[in-house]
Amino acid sequence: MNTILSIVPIQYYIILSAILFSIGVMGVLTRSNAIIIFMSVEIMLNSVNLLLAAFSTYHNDAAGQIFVFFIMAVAAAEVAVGLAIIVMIYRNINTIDIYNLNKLKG
Amino acid sequence: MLTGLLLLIPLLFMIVSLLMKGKQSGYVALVSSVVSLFISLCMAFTFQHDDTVQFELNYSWISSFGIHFHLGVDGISLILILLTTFLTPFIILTSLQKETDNSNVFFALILLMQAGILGAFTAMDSFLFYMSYEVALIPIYFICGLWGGENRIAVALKFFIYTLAGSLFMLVSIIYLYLQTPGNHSFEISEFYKLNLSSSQQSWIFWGFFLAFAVKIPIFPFHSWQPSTYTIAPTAGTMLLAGIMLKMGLYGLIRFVLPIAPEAVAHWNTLAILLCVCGIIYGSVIAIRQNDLKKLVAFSSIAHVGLIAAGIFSMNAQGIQGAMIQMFNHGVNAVALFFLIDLLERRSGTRLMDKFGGIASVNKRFAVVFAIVMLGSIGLPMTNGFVGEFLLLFGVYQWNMYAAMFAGLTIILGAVYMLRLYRNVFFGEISEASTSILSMSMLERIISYKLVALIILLGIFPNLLLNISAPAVNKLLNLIAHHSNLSSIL
Amino acid sequence: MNISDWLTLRIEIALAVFILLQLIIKIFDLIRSNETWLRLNIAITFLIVLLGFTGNDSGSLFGGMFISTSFIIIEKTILAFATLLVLMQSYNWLKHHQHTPEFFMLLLTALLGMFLMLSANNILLFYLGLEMATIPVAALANFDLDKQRSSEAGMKMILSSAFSSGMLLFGISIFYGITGTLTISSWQEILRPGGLEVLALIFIMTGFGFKISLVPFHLWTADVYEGSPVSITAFLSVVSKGAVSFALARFLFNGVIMMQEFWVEILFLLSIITMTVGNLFAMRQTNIKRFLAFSTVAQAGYILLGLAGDPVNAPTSVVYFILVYMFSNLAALGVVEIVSFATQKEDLDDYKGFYNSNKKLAIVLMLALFSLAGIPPTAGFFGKLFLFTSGIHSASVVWLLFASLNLVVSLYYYMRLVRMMFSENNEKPLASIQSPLLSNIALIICSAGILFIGIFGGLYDYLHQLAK
Repeated sequence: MNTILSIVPIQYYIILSAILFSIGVMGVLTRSNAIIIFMSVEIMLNSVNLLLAAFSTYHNDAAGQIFVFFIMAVAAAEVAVGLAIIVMIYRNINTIDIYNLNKLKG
Repeated sequence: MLTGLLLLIPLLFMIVSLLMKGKQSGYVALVSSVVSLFISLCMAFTFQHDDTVQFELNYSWISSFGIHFHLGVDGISLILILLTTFLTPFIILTSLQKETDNSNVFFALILLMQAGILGAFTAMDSFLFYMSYEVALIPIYFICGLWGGENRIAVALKFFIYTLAGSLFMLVSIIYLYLQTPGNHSFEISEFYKLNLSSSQQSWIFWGFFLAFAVKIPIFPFHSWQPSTYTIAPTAGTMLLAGIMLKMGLYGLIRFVLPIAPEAVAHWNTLAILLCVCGIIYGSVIAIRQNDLKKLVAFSSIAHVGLIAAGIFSMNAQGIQGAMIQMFNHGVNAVALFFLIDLLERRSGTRLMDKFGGIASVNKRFAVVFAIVMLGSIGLPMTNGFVGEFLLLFGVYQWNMYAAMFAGLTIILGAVYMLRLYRNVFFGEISEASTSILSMSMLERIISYKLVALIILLGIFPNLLLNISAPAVNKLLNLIAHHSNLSSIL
Repeated sequence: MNISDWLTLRIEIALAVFILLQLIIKIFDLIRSNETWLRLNIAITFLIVLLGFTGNDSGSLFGGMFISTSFIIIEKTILAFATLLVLMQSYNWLKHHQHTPEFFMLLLTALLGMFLMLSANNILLFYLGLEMATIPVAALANFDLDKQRSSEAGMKMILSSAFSSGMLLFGISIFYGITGTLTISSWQEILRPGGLEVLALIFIMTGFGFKISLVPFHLWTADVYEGSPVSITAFLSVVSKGAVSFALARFLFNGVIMMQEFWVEILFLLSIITMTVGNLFAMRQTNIKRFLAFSTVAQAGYILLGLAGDPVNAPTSVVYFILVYMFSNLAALGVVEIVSFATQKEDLDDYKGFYNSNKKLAIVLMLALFSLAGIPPTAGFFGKLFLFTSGIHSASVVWLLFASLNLVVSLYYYMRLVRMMFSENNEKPLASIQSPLLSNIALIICSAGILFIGIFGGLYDYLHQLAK
């Protein structure tokens, strides 16, 4: 067993990331500002990153940590496209509140 | 080989007819139907009068599912093939007499339908049967929906959804049977015959098939699509529906339900025959009150097929043989009646009974032709209807006397509505509409004489048909008897 | 690792090279005409389709991260072919678009992502492929830059895809924690039904559920389909959905086959509500794109039914169904695209009397609807039949019953549209429309597919052989 995990056991990481993930999910489902929704998605992804890093240490396997880098890169790409779309929307309707996106009936 | 040709010819000519314009496409269709008739006659003459499946054609179609393109002809299917090929030329000739828009599509659809129907009658693989059964449905939907009368789109849609939903139950049953077959499953009908199904399994199968066929035939209370569809359809469509298409349902009863689920039939046939008898009385009574000639024949058709279905469910040689010959006869009579009504409508622009009167004194020839066809439909001795109805009633009588008594009402009530029709249309004061029926054209005469000749010929020599189907029907009955012996031993 | 193994990667390499080449061409502005771009890209996609039929098929690369079999190549070829049809149909729209070259690059990148996702035997590669396949499509949904609905569609697409990726990743990370490896095929030896595994599987299924728009994760679908340009709707509803369905099949049968008993239950629940809700909502739509969107939601329910089969029949029937569905849906959307480009009309009511003004288009649309409804003898019937017979393997009677009932219900609304097209009374009937040659060719290919794929049953046998 790894020394880091002997100080803070693996369960703590799992619980923390589960809490973070739930916060993220709640944020996505309840908030209406598009940017805050993106932030919540980031929290979800970061909780996954934490979990992956912890498991990677637990298993003594580097693959998990590599995965973390890729998730960060992909999340950046996702946000880049997302922000571009937000800019488009802001140009069209001057707000980024998703409750105003009702031109298409939900 | 011949069976393959029989299916291929209409499909090939269908493409040719699509490429033609106007009447030409009709002539192409006519040629095709005559060639088919010729082929089927060749089959009838070379047919060995025994219970084997002949003219077989077997290719693997989707081998990982055990689906075969397996065609074959036995006595039962041969009669129905003959019916189809005999009637199609008449149907095409009838439609050639009128101008139709987009006639190339119209005739192509008729040919496609013929191919589908023939496919259903020759299929030895249940999947192929189901496919053909549905292929035949789509053309008639369009024939009704595009060339029909008032309110055609709604009516055609109702018809389409009804039958399609009904046949879904058949598909489910077929797949169920398929999964019961041993080893590498197979859709072969003959494999289904070998299954030993428990009585509850048989009941499920019975109802699955029954729903599909009851809608198609139609058996009371699944008939609600039928009168409106018959009325709005163009004459060719009505002829196809009443003359040929509903026989697919009856054929299905004989081919699938009786041999695969005999115990269930024995168990449920009280209910089934009761429904048939209700249909007989219901159809006849409504027919008596009709003023629209086409509707009258449509309702009378419910009564007639009800009797045929009752004969089939009585599960004895007379009943089934009666059904075989009556299927043919009903086809001929229905087509003849619709042809004559179409003639009246074309000339006078109406088909309401009270608009006519006194045609007998205007055009004697027409009156005689109509009389013979009508008598054939009622089932008078010496006409084709007699033999069939007699055998059917005899079959039902053997099963239950009272059922036969009520089923026998079809003859009496049939006489009532037909003679009422005849009295109103042909006797009495000469009305304005009647004067338009002064003469019949050459073509009309040829068609009607041929049909009349067929009616009388089959009235005198019913054995022409009975001999064809007898061995196959016997084999079927043996199969049923074998089944019930087996289950009594087990 | 020798040269013949590299050949299994030929499709991806070719695609990547072409994308980069186009980028260079665009930067130096070597091609100006939109039509040349279009022709070039149709040629490229065609080449990709052809590449699928050549050379060595099976092998693995990068230490088993990338695997390839004949079956996977067939899946890729189907997707490439669908993309080809989409491109051909988008001719009208792209001819005058301001950003045509970018469209192709994004579209092909998404396709490349799907290819990588399908070949992935490593969950990291799988995830990268999945994201590569969705992010460009979100940008594409927003491609009509000046239209608010288009940016709305893009917004909803990117939000839902990001959210679903989060779900998927959480499930994946738990699986990683249990197994200690990212290789999908070695999961099946370790994963057994248990509390944590089930939780992870539910998260992963949620992620997949978003991507193939299963109920209750379908909320974005109708909006995105309606708001996006029709070509993108076609791409989303056929290519994206097809790719994720293939991937789901591979994941279920390669990764978590040991938990089959459990995931069949999930599929059962998702499938019946997906079919039912999809059908019920499709019935009350007035916009034809939304109508088709909900109909594709319902179709996904049948795909799940097919997945409940054994490891050979299930993938085969899904691939076959997607192939059939590709022809049917692209035919329908192709007609919608032509009509909406020519007249800007997208309401169901506008299609009243369609047959009278545009006979050929109406017949194609009718064939497509027949096939979607699964009416024999169209290919759609065979597609559904195979899904059903595959599903019988482990589906319960209730499930099959629900699926059959839903077939009847769907029959009603598909036929309602057919009925509208053939009825006569419309105060403002659509004008007679001239459609461009390329769209016509695509429609003819689709119609031929609908009519003949089912009848020539050898195709299923062939796929079945490959799946073994």
